Amino acid sequence: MDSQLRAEITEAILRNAVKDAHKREMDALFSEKAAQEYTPSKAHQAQMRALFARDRRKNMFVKIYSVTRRIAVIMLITATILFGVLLTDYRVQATIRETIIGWYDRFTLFRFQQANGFETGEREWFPEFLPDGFEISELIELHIGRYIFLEHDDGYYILFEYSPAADTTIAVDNEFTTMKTVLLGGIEYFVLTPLPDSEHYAQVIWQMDGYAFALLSNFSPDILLQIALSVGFAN
Amino acid sequence: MLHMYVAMLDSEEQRFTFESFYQEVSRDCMNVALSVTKNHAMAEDALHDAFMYILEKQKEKFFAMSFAHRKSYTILTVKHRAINLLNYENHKNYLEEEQEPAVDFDLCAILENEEGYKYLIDCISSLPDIYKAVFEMRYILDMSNLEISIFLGITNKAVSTRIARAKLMLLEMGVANGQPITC
Repeated sequence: MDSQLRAEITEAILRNAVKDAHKREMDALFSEKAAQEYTPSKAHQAQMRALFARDRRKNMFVKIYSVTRRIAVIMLITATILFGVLLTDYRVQATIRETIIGWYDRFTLFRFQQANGFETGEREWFPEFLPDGFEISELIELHIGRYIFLEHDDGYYILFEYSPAADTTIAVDNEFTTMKTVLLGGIEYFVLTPLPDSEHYAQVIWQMDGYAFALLSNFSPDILLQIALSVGFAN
Repeated sequence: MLHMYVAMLDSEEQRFTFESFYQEVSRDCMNVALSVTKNHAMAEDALHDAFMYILEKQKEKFFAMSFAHRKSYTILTVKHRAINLLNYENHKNYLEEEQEPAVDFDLCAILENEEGYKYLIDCISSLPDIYKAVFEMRYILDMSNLEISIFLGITNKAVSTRIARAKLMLLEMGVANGQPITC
């Protein structure tokens, strides 16, 4: 018999012997002759009650925490799903899409909203008033809008652009410009004037008949506003 | 309402309450503690300490046992807590051997010797409490040396030393009484 086997047998015998010795001791202790009537003291009863109460509170807390965590996870998942569903709903998107002016540190953002009950169709717009010497140098038509470049022999230029108001956003620099609002004929015109010695442009932005318009030029902002007021149907 | 709701979540095992278990085993536990301490107050302290130890440190192991095993586990825990308290009360500081004695402990001869086995049981019963305690915790409660050391408040090395010394004492008892239990 090898030594490891002998050691294992020895441990097994010792284990059984210890158990049998303990059993004999307990049997002698709990025999009818040796049984003693035991009445716990009040202090001990209070001590044990407090111990079990503390254990119950601890168990209750663990269970409540477990249940609360499960509920919180379920609520979070539900909220995430609902939020995702709402964002894909076109009515929610339309409600969110409103004309707002966001003031940022370096630029002003104009977002335009399609007016209710107004259909743009395909329209061509052009200013009826233009200072002498301006001629169309380039015309760019994109699916998002139309861009008309006008140039003057003296180096002045005007960019006239327009597009359907829905989904149109125009960002303008406001760090080196001042802005004023002019209300004429029920239309609000935003006039941006560059600060002296800045290399920025004058701009006029407005919305009319379901379209968003912008005029940009190195010309006088007052003249630009007159041009804006003269914009009408070209066809 | 919340208490009822939480109670509904409980499994059958979790509905077991220590309070009802205590009611069932307290008399036997108290008898064991009294047999060690001979003092009512000390015995009650041992009982309280034992339940606190089980609730705080051994709950998972406790729930894995059968009811009969839970009872014997609790009784043993109470007994050893009582021994600890008594030793502390009597300022008994056992000097542990620095070195674990080398013991050639072999009980193979008992496989063919029924009388030898009965004598072994007698010898174990007559061991001093501190040695019997480590034997019982190791072989009945299945505690590791580390768990025993934490329970008794001694070092891991001291536990190994006590086990070795207990085996040495058993060998000496066998030799002294002419009842060899080694081959």
